[in-house]
Amino acid sequence: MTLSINGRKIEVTLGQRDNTLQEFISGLPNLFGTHFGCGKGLCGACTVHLNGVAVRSCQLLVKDLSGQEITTIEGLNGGSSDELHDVQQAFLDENVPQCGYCMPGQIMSASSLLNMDPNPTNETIKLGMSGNLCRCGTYPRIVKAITRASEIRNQKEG
Amino acid sequence: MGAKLSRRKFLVSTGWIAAGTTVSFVTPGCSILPTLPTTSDDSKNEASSWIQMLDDGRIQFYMGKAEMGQGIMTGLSQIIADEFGIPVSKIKAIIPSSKQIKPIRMTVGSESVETLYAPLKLASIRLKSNVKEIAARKYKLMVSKMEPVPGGFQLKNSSQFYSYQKIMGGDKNTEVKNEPSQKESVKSSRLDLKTKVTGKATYSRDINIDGMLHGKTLYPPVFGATLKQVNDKVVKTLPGIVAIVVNIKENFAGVLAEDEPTAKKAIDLLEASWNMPKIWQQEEIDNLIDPISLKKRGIAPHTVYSSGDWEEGHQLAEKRIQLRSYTPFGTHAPMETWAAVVSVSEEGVKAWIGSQDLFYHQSKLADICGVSKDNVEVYGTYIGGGFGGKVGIVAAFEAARLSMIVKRPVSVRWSREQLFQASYHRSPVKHQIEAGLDKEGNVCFWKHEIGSGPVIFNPQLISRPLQWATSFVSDSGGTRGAIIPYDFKNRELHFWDEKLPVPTGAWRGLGATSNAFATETAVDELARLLGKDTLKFRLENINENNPRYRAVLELAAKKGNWGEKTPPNMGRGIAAVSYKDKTFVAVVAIVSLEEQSVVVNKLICAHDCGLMLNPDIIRSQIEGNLIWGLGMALKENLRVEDGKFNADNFDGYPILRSHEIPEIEIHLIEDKTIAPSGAGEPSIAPTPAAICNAVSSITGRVINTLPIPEQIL
Repeated sequence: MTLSINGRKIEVTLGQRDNTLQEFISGLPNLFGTHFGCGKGLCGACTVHLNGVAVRSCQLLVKDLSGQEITTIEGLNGGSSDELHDVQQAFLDENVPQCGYCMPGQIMSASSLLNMDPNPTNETIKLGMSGNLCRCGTYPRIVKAITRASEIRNQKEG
Repeated sequence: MGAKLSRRKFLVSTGWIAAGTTVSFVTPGCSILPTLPTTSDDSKNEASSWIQMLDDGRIQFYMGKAEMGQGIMTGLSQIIADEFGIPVSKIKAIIPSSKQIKPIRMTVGSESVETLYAPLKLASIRLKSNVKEIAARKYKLMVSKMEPVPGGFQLKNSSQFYSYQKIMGGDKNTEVKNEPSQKESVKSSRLDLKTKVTGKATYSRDINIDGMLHGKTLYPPVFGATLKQVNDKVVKTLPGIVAIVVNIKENFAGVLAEDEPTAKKAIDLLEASWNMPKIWQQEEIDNLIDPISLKKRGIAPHTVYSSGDWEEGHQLAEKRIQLRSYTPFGTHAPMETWAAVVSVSEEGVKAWIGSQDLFYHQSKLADICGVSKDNVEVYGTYIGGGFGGKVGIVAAFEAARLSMIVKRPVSVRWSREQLFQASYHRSPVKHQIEAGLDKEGNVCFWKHEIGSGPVIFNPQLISRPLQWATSFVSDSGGTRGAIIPYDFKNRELHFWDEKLPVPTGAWRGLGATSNAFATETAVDELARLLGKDTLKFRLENINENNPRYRAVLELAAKKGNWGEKTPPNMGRGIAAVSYKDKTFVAVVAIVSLEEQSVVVNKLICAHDCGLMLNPDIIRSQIEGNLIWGLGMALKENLRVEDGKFNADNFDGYPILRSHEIPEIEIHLIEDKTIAPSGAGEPSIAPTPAAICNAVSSITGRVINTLPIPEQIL
């Protein structure tokens, strides 16, 4: 079977079918941004998109994902090496990351949230992001960054 | 080894007590002097070797402190950038390996900016002077006629400008724009932002080397259990298994596999039986550190501070308090667990470890592999959260042991459960504060007794031979912040650091948060006894030589609308800390009780850490600290039950989530004539106390346990 990750088809060996998606991604070269935090779906560090929607990759099995489109942090901005995704740019402009380890997961969750609700309130954001832990305490800045990204996006779309 | 040193000689030669010396090793593998964290360095002289100007006028900087989120990469680069008058983005900061710089002190204690400010400034001045001479020679100028300006030099009484880029030859044009001056540093972007939002930042858990194997290890089912027997019958047959490594004497059992999922499966299937020790319960551990129990058992404390005669003061007192306070085990819970890659080969040892002490790991790996330190190169990486929990990373030692056997690179990545159960944590602490007020309402005695497990002398980092030696020296991490800046008479501070069956060590703020919780709630109690406003009582008692402590209290109170009338279920609390007498911080908490549970509505913080290189980074550290302190006050609690911790993942140890964060307001005080002091830890310390004081202002009763018990009404 093959998995589609960031638009590329990747071969899955028989032995890999029972891997979690996080384990599978972790074994691929150059896709080390999807981080392991807890292995139980409690922390959100491993968040990727499944058909554009945020999921915890440590809770999904590779064998169930045939034909699904998976996007990791590396693929969020379409793989561009220069231009950042709106949400990434907003996280940068608001000086969000501290240690940065939870950031890929936060950004994947945030971009999915905005896809579903382009004009979220502070409350919606806080609740929507409550699955992503941050021990450094960047939560207030994450909320600001998501609000900023939604405003920029609304401006772009006129 | 054979040599029998007298106790006194041993203490001196380890360097632990002799100030300013680093332990050095004579014979690897059978050293009398055990490996210790790196406590000192020669940064004053070494700093010049960390920086050089590149062809394009940028400055390359071997940034040897651990970047674990606190922004030190940017902060230290800022010092250099400011001196040259260039944007901080022109500093090419590199996380060095142990071959690229000489040993540097571990990154702890919120002290990096404070200790490296002068060395880096001096090094920058020296480098600038060298560049000036290069320019003088190149353009046949007189050095005395060249004035330093942002981005380069200008000829006196002329507009002729020479940029660094031009001087170093990286720019062939004669017209070079003068780069904007440095006071964009007020809200400069951190250097590590782009790499962290794109997922490109490398942490040691992410490292992938050609030919690398994955190692997983067993950990004891209860504290103190030792390995008896390992049965690898099933695991041996798993496809992809490369080796099973067992050393019963060393309590070591690990597996090596070509891929991580196989290694995980294997370690879960590996059958082991253990020699079961005494099974500890939390109450027994608490008893080990209880001042009352310790005194009954005839164990003398270290007297850390003593002034006057507390017994005399006790007689004078008309009103007295006796407060017994408790803070539980806590854990660092960094988002990245312990992980490291070590590669042992004929050429030597290479390792990739994201830790707070590069050179400690270099020494330790040299010991384990039986080679000299010159043969060990450790590469630093970004760190997914340190907080005191990554000074010594056992996963690295395990990777070394495994790599030695197969002579291939080995990555050991601890699971979250393993980190909870087998790493070191914040010790529980028991306090007893007795204090009294004389008939004038002055505090006429204050006796504070503290019982704690090790804070600085972490038994996981300090091998057995040294542990007995450390019992002669008071663990000053545990008493941090306990000598409070109030004019109380007849004061005593006693401290016990007791060995516990669970490894404990440093964590954010060390003992300061627990101590501030005990002392600042006690201060509130005293004020309440007098019927006085708790802020007013503090202001009346602050030592006159501490205007900065007074100033943060007053500012926090002002911004927190202290004294404003509130509905009966709402209240304000205040607490302040003088952190190492260098950073001063006060927090006001606004809290309400809703259906018997505590809701923190707002936290207001006033913070003074002297000259601020990057106020935005400082703000981000304060935000993180306030949130952590809030978590300590409301949620974080780790207990030993039946010989192990009652939680081993975030479901059992809930750290705060985004929807639980109240409004946070931060006010920074800056006196640019005061040298920069730390911001990475101080603001955590007064936070739980402020919250508890706010609750007490509503209930009228002191809170003496963290987290705040459910039943407070």
